[in-house]
Amino acid sequence: MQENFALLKRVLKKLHDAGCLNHIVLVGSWASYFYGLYFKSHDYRPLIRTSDIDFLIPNPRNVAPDLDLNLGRVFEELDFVKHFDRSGLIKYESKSLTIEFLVPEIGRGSGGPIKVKGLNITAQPLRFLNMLSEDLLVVQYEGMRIKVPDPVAYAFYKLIVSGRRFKKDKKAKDYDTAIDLIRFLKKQGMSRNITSYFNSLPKPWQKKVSSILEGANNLEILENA
Amino acid sequence: MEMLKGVLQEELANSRRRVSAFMAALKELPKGSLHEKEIKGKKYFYRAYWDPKSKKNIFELLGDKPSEKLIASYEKAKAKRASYKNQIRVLKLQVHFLERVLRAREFRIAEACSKKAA
Repeated sequence: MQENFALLKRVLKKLHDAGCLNHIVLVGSWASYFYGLYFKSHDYRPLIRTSDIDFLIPNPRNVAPDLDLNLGRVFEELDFVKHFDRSGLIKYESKSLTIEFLVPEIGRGSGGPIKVKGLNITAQPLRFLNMLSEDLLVVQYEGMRIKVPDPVAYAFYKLIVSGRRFKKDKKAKDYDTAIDLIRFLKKQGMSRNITSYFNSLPKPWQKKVSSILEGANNLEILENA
Repeated sequence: MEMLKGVLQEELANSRRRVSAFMAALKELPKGSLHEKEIKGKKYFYRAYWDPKSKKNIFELLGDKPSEKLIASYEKAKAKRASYKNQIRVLKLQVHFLERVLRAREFRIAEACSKKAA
């Protein structure tokens, strides 16, 4: 874990030096680590079991037109190697971590990975990621400005995604992450934000969230919000 | 138990994917190393590499002195090769360990129990 975090810091530093940290958002389990730092609280200790570092590119068609970076080479300097997926997606692998780029899937979907020209990478389109790119939080960390999704949006995203998972362990992990984060945010006095975010969701999504919470006998988590 | 098995299976798949990624990266590195030899006061440059078919070290004579850029690329490749080989070794140990763990009797018993319960 400590080794992985040290490597993550080196990756973030490289991206910061390359000037592309402004164009990407750190999502996934590693983002929740930065919530604890942002709220300066020791109460929130996210369970980071993942070995994936996921970066979201909110606007892949218009990313860094002035930049012409080769992120593959940047990661190569940190001993990451390319792995070509069958779908054409390129992931960057190290001994213990995998870097992957994601983009929000819109409309019918592109059916496969898309190329991000400014960064010379491919990214995987996924549903519901636009939830994470709408509201962002900037965490100052060791001279870097790290963008992470708004924690309320992230918690609801995890809830919705947990309902779409087939694997039991992943489903449980997403659900637990969401519930822990909502509980922590309530302790931080963000109950109103949780209620207003829930009410701002489209009605079908609200239903989905309610049914997931109801299924786990946890609907009261929204009641006091 | 099922969740634990799922986590271990995911880790095994990750480790296998990483082994294949490092193997592919290893193949892409320039083969062999550059050597300089002085014979009767004259300098000769060779590229030495292992030929798996003939099972011999092959010394290929280079016409001119290799450029600084080429020498640097071979030096870099040498360091990378050592690092990749080390990572492959560690990952293979991890794969081996995870495969053994997933074959454990406890998992089989738990699976049988859950089948019975269903």
